[in-house]
Amino acid sequence: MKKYFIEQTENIPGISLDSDLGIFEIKGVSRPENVQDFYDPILLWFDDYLKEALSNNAEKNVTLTVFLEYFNSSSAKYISFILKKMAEYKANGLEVTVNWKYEDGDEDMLEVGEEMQRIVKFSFNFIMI
Amino acid sequence: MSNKIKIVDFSGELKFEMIQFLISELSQKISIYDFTTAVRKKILNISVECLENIYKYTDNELYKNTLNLITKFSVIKESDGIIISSGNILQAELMKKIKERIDKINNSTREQLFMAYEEVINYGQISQKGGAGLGLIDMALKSGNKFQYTFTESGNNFFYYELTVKINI
Repeated sequence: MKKYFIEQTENIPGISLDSDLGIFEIKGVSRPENVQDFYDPILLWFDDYLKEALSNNAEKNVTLTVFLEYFNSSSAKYISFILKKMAEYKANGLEVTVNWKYEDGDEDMLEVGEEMQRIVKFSFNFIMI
Repeated sequence: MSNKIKIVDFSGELKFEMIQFLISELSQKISIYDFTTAVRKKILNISVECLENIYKYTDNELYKNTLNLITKFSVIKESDGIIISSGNILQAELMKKIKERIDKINNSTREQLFMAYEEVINYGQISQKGGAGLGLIDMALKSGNKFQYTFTESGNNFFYYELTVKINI
């Protein structure tokens, strides 16, 4: 399946979803003008990836790295949806690693990552940069 | 002698592009102070949330007819904290809901706020305006202080809503 790539700007995060390697990355700032329009295609891509993985057409060992300087409260909902997709992947037998990166001193970003971990009910790696 | 320093002071119609301009200006201006990364991030994050709330929820039709109730946003440095204030015009039907939400948040412990955050993440709906219902909870968690707010009824079924958030430094 096609890879998904969006270039980072001052308002939207960089998105890199590599369907060959099973490596997914979200980084930068997330406050798109229309959050739903931005994230809905990404969620659909994750659904399609799962189908491909279960059909042995895609890598079953996946890594999601989230490194956001900031995300607005509307984005938080969609980021939780993406993390819940990872939980769904795990429930379907895929090997999933989630790396939650945060800037040294950014205790709020660490805290929200820990909260997201609690919500999706599986362990993340917390990496201070 | 006042210890207040005005860092950002905006008034007028807030368009989406202006939010980034204001945040860039704010980021530049607070860089001269010896704030920790945590404080700097709180200032920027809460400011974005305030500005986006204004952008999403200001009734622009009302705004066009009520120039004396102009949208405002300011960031002021005081001796012990950063005060982030916003003011915008809203339809009267929203007043009760907003007041209830703020009062509930102001009376919540940090743990209760996290529970509320989790509940909205898990069960909240995205509104037509793209809001997730998390903004005030998020700001409360980041600031660690109670909100100050006023509602001023202005006839014709709308009101002026002012919100103030303090970040300790």
